[in-house]
Amino acid sequence: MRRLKNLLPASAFNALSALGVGLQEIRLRADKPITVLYKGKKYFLSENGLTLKRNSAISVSVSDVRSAFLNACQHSVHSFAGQLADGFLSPDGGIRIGVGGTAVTEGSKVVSFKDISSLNIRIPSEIKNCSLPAVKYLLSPIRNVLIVSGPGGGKTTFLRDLIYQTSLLRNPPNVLVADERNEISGTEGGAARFDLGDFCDCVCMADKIFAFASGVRTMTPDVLACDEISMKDLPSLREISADGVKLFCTMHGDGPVDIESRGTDNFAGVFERYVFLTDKNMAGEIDGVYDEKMRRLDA
Amino acid sequence: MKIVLCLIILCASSYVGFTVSGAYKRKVRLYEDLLLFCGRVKSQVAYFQSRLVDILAETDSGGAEFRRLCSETKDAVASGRNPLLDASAVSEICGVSLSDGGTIAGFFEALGGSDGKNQQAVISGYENIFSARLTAARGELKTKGGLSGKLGVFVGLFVVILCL
Repeated sequence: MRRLKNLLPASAFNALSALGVGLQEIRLRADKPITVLYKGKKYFLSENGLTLKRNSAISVSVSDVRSAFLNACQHSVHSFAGQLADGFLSPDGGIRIGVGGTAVTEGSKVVSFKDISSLNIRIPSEIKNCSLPAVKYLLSPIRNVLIVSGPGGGKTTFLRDLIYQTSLLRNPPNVLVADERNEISGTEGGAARFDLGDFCDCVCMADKIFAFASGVRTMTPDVLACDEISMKDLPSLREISADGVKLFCTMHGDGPVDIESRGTDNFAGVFERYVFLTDKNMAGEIDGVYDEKMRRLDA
Repeated sequence: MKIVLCLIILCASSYVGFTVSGAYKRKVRLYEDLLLFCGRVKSQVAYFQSRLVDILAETDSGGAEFRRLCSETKDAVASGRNPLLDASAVSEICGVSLSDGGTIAGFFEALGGSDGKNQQAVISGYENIFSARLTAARGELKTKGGLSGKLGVFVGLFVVILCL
C-alpha cells in the first residue's frame, strides 16, 4: 500500500488502506470516479471505502491522473520508454500499471504516451500454498504445465506459488523465470519482492524470446517459467521442452473447451498438464487439472 | 571608544558591500551549475535512461543554492509532491527574481516529463535560456558586483571620516 501513496489522492489512499487482502485493481480515469476491483467484484471508491453509489465516489481530474502517471514514473518517463511502448509501467515491486492515453509514435512504432487519460493499477498478491491442491498432479514428477484463466483470474499468483513449491522438493530444480513485466518476481533493486524459493533466477523486463534463447543457454535451468504466452510462442517452447527443460507457463483462456478449440495439436509435445482457474468465488481458485489429452485428473 | 566604533562601522559597511557583491557571484555560479547540469542530464537520459532521482542523487558538486535545489527536487519526487518546486521557494533559495525562480522551477518540473527525444529538445531549450541568463549575470557581476564591494568600503570610510 505504501507504494500507492504517491499515486492516489490522499482521501483515496486513506480509504484503500483500510481494506484488507483482496484488492486487485484500482482504475483512475480522468474526470471519472475511481473504480476498484476487490475480491473479484467492481466498486466505486468513496472516502469511507467501497461503495456501489457513484454519487459518493471520489473522482480524479486530468491533472490527478497526469500527476499519478509522473509519480509512477518517478518523474522519469524516459526511463520507462520500453515499457510504455507496450502500454504499461512497472515502477517497482510487482505493481503493473496499464496506461491509457494518446500514443506518441515514430512511424508506426509507439515510443511513449501523452495526454494520459487512465491508469489501471494492478496490485500483485502472493498467496502461499494456493497451488498445493494441484501439486501432486504437477510436480510428481515435474510436468510441463499450462495455467489458464481469464484476465485477473490469478494465473500469475498460482504460477508464483508453483515455482515456490518446486523449491521444497527433495531434489529442487533450478528455475529460470522469464519475467517480461516484472510481475512474477516483483524485482526491486536487484532483489525479488516475492518468495520464489532458493533455486530461482529471474530475467526481468526482457522479451520472452531473449529469455528463451540466451537465458536457457546461460542459466541452464531445469524449469522455465513465463507468463502470458501466446500461440506463436508454442514452437519455441516445444524446442525448449525437447531440450529437456520443463515449462511452467500461463495463458489467457476460458476453460478446456477454449483450449481445445485452438487445436490440441498445437499444444502437443509442449504441455502435459493444464490447470484451469476460475474467479467464481475468488481469483486463483482451481477449476480443474487436466492431462495432455484433456482428461480431468482431480475429479 | 570612537576608534572602535569607527572600525565597527567600516567593517559593517564593507560586509554589506561584499555581501551584495557575493550575491552577484552566486547568481553566476547558479547559472553555470544549471548549464553543466543540463549537459549531464542530456547524456544520462540519452545513453543510460537514468531515473531523475538517481541523476539528482549523484549531483554532489556545484554551489550551495544549486545543491539545495537538487536536494529539494529529489525529496519532492520521492514524496510525490506536485509541483516539484515552487517559484517563490526557488526565488528565496537562489536569491533571484520571482520570474527567474519560475523559470528554474519550470526546468526541474520539465525534467523526466516526456520521452528521451523530447527531453533532449526541452533541455536544449532551457540551456539557451540559462546561457542567456548567465551572460547577463556575468555582465551584472562585472559592473555592479565589483562596484558594490568598493562602495561598501567607501561608504564606511566616509562615515568614519565624518565621525572623526
